[in-house]
Amino acid sequence: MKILICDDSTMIRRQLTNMILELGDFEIFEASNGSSAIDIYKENKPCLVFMDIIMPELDGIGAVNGIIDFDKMAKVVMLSSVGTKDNLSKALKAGAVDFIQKPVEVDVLKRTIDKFCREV
Amino acid sequence: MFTQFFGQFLLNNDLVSAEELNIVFQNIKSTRLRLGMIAIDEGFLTPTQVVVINNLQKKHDKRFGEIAVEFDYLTEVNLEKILNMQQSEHLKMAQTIVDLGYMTLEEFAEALNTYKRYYGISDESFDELKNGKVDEVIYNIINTENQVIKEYVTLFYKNIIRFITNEVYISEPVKLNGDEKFKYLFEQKLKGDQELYTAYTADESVLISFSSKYAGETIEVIDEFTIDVCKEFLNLHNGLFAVNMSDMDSKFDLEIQSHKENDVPLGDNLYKIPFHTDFGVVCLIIGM
Repeated sequence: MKILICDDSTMIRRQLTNMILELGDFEIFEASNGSSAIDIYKENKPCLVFMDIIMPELDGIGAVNGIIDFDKMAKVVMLSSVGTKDNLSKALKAGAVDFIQKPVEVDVLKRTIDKFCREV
Repeated sequence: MFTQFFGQFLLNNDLVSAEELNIVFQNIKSTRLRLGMIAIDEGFLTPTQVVVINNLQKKHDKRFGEIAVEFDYLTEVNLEKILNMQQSEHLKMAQTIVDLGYMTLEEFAEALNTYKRYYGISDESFDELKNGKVDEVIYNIINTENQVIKEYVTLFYKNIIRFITNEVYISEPVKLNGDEKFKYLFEQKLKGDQELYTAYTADESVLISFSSKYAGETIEVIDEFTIDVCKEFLNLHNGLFAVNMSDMDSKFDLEIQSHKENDVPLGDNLYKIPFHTDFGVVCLIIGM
């Protein structure tokens, strides 16, 4: 199963990749901004996307809009430190299916992957 | 954390030297707190009574608590209470300083009272400080009426403890003159109900330790990855701050975090607040 991680922080992408690979046999794709996330999604159609919000070029909300425009069934989970009510509302309106507040914990990650990748 | 705050106070007031304070910090971890010390602090026994019980111990070869209860110096309830307090940080510090001969118990008690008066710490707040709740102490050190700044600095302190090290204390803010350059500066602006310039800086070796601890992996040089780690810490902290403020109906949006080298922070009325850790000083820079 394919998972796309979109975060401008190399450290976050690395940590998330390691955590996800401990949970199972996944193929991980990485993007460092919203624009490349849309391109990588279109090419690989992952079962799940973890999307940061604050990023250069195109932010996470913009990227969710772009991905959902391409694939209305896309499963995008926001993964951000800025879990304000405002951002949560914007993300869900854009089509995100869930919002995880950083720092992410393994059990939350596992539950999210089980929930959205199992639905595929 | 109490030991770091109070240790700084003792140092600033020439009650101990830097070398002595260092020795105290090294010895505290291995100090086994004597029940007599706790009982005095709680007001259950006087120093004289403790001496009497110690002498009785030698005659009867029994433990301090057993003798104290047998000879009606302590009740069973009080003994149980002090037995549960054997991890008390401030008492370990007192015992270590006294055992090393740097101060007498009376001098230590007097210094503690002066510290509480100086920072306007009530007995209730001091109990909170002993239990690791430092909000009021931090408010008193940074000395600002701006509630947003108070919340920000306190959260930064708590996030240092949460993600980096629990051996940290802060000292008083220093106003920046606008010309001071910093070798490494990690910045992020927050915009919303008010505009907030935030940044932090540290020396190279401190940043290497800081980023190693935050990333949870060995980092030995400042490279692109280290810079990324340092920026991400500020981003995480500011995100958590925005969430807290949002819960208080105060809105903040984050701009992209950045870093600069050999440059000055941009903003008005900036102060740097030193966070002293076990691996060096990290300075938070904020407009106050």
